[in-house]
Amino acid sequence: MSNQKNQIGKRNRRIRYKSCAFLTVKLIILGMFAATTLVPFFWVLMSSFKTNSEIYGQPFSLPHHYQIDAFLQAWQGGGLSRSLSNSLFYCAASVVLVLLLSSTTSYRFAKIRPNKALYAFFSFGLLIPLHAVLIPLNVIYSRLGMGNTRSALIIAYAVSNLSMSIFILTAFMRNLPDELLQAAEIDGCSGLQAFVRVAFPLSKPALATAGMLAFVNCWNDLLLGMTICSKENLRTISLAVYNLRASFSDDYNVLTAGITIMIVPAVVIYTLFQEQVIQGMTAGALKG
Amino acid sequence: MISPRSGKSARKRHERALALAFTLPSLVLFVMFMIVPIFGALYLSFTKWSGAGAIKYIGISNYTNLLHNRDFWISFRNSVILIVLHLGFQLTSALFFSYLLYRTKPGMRFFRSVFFLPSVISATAIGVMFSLLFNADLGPINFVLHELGLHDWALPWLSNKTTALLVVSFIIIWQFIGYHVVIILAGMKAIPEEIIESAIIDGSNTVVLFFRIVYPLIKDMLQVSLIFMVTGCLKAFDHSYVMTMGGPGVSSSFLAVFMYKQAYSRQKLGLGSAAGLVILLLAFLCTRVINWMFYHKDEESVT
Repeated sequence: MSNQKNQIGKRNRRIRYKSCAFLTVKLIILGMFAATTLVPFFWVLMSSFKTNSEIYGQPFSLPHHYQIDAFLQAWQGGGLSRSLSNSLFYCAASVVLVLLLSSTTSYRFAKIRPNKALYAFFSFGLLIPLHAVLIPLNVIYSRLGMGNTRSALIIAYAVSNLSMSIFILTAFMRNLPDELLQAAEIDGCSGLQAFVRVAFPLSKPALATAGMLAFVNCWNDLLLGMTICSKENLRTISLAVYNLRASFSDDYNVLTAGITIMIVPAVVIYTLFQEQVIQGMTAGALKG
Repeated sequence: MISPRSGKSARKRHERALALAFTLPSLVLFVMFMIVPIFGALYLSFTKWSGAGAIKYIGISNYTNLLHNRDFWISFRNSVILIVLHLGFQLTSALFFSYLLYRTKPGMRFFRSVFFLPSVISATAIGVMFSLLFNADLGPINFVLHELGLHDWALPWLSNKTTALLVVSFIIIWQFIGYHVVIILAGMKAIPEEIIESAIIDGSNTVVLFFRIVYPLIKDMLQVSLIFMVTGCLKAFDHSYVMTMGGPGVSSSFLAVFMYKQAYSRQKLGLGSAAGLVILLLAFLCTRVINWMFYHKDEESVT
């Protein structure tokens, strides 16, 4: 008996030893891939604090003296201050708009009057690549006199995220307990109040997921911003960073500073709301 | 006193009004700025128009022009190459790294968040970043190659026909590996622990475990990943536009870049719309084909 136990113990120890070595190899490979993911961004961040001659002479060294001149140049000369506030405004406004639109519509599908055909109609938007509607969308805007206006871009962002947002929110709201909403109505809430006071606050997790997705999509968009709002004072951050290359082609520190300015808000959002961002961006895959 | 009947119908009416009020704004915007534009694209694709002046109806000429357009076919070929490279490198790397992460307890969350990070970052920023890194004269990559004495290797990466396409493609692949790792990893985590444990007790090693147990059980996720990958390739625009403008010539241009250039650099809105619809059709078609492939495989495994 004890002999047998001993042997099992030995075997377990051997397995543990083997799996330990295996784990180390695994972690090294994973670490290497993590490094290739992070190094380019780290290079950008470090370069933005260096002088140009430092970047060209020792591209991978740390800055000798951290300087913020490049940031000032990108901020003022490159017009990033203007476009950063533009993009923040576009993103905030379109996230609010898409959440208002999709939460009400999803509530209707989930709790008021389910309508399969209409829901399928909205879902159809998931299949449409932006490129197929880009040209006519711009034609419609200019016919409506909305070319080069903030509202045109905000609506375009909201509509391009609408289907996904409805998809996420309807799935979530379907699982809200009916009893809770009925109780609210018995307590004298109208249907609208039941939505505003009960369903909407309870849907916070899904609202966060859908909102994060919409935010990331807006912040990273180039194509819509480029075609709808090309006027200089309305430019998105993407367009400004893109244009930076034309005006500062040899100033790597200004260019990397511009990239850093554009990346930071996305990284901050990602760090703070990581699970919501990941859930939002993979919602089509993981809940579909 | 209100009779219960009228109370009920008042509630019904209220419900109907609320449903309408909750649907109408979304519906109006969705129809105006998503559905109408599709029909608009269909209409424009049968016309010749520069954006100003009269719209001239020309039948299917835009489509026949596309068939004879060399730039279109090169862009089409590049998109196909992009898809093939994605299948060969992105899908396999994502599978490899997610399987490595799966059942790795320490650092799993850390690696997952690091791998996903580039997917959150703007393609424009990443495009500018790599155009600096790969710059022929000033770029650090050529700097290192020269330092190492590999002068022949220091190519003008982004202005060479072959390397431009490859560099742009691999940057797209690199950026979204983590995205697919997260999707596939979610599929692996959904596998019941007992199945894995009993396989290990039966003596399966890691490789056997992957092909016999894990792979068949994550097919659903692979299907989704594949659809996202292929439709993503068909929509690829930002990286190519930012890094090379699709150039030199059209050698690193994809379908979406071709469409954009026709419409906004050459003012051929009709031809551009036709190209946009081709992207739409291909996206539909590829999604269908992928679903069909997986559907059939499932049937085989059942019988």
